[in-house]
Amino acid sequence: MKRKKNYRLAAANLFEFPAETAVKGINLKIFDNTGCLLEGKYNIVTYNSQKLALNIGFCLIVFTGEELKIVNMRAGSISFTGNISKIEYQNAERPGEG
Amino acid sequence: MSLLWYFISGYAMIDLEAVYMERVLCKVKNCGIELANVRRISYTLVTATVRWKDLGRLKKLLENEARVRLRRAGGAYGLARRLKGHIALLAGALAVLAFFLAATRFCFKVRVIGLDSISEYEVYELLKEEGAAPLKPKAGFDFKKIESALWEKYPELVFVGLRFDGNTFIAEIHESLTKPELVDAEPCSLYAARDGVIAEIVAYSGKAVVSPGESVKKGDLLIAGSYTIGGAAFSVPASGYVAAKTEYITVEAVEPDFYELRPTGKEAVVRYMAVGKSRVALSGENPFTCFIEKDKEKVRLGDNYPLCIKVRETTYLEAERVFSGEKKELAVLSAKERAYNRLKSHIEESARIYSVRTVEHPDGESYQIIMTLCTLEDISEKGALGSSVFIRE
Repeated sequence: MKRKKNYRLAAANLFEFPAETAVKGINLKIFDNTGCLLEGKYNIVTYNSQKLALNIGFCLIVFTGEELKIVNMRAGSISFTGNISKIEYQNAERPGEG
Repeated sequence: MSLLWYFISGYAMIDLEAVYMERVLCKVKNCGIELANVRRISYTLVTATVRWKDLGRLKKLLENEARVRLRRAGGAYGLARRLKGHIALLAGALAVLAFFLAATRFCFKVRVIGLDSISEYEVYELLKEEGAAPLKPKAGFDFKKIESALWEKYPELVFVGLRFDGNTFIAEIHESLTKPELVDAEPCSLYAARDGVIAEIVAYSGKAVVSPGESVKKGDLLIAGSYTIGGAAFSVPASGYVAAKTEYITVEAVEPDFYELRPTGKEAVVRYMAVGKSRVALSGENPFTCFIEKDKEKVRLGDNYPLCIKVRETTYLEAERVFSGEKKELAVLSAKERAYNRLKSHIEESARIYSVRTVEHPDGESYQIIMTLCTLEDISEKGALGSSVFIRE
């Protein structure tokens, strides 16, 4: 997959701003393999205790593990806990709802 | 923090039942409703926690797509739901809350801190007069008035701080430091205040003119404030410590009550009637000059009437005076005690008593105790400078 050139990111790099302040993409924080916080625009594609798939615009991000539980879910962020065994980027074949 | 906010604002634990669960979750999220603790139970069932204020919106939003079931209410919402069915409990809770809110408006205790010489009680009384008393509303405390009253009564203060610490009114008051006493710088000498034998002498200023072991009489020079060394004359305020062994003597008479009465075996009985305070003899008389008396009541009439009549019987036992060693010992001991206390009242508190001697002195019928108290004490006292003492280099 080829992403379009992100001019906002280029501008941020030029002025030495942190990337997360400039880009419109997602910000992903992983706490060991027990928790994860995703900030940015997303849509839930699949959710059960073994799998959580989120559409983040340019691709799908799929978390695989055990006992996945969404701790907090709001418009701009989602955080969940569980035993994460795999994080995978996949083609966004199906755009999210909403 | 968010959990605490959840609890305060109230939350509801719900079951969401839908066929297209992901779609439902996305819809909820996109509408700005925050879900927490989302757990997928089965393909069609999810449990979640939602804020109490969002619950109505959520139900309305998912009216046609999912079934929202309230499982449990928690936090303030839950409390409100529980109290809704128990009016008395609700009223009680509100009354307690109102009481605590009202209590915060009152002062329960007044504390005065930081004082050294001024009596805390006096200040407390002044505060009370100015309206700063326990169980009064905080709004009634006029800090400016109290402060000016304190400054007026105690102008030597350096700091007055008034504040509330919860329900306690604290008056923090500091006094100015007292001026140190100026040391007398007039030249003088030290003289003996009593007769004694010098045990120790330390001259802080001036020159010692006596040494340990020397006997001194009252008025003798001990430390000279005016002295000459090698032609140079000095006049200084003499000071120092001069300990001497001194004696205090007193004579104390022993009370001559060394005899006790012993019954001889003869006895006589006298009966009389007592009416009020007057007595009427009924029978018998007392023929003895030295006797022991035993009185007991035999009959009593008219206990509950204003005039009570009693018949009493007195037994007189003839007795003879016999010398008692025990009584003599007690009388001597009592005399010794009196003598010691009398001497002790004349001795300075700093004096150390190192021996007590007692001599019993019979003088005809009377009997005396001579007590000598030996002490070690500072016998120096300030006096006029006097003539200059020449000291060899």
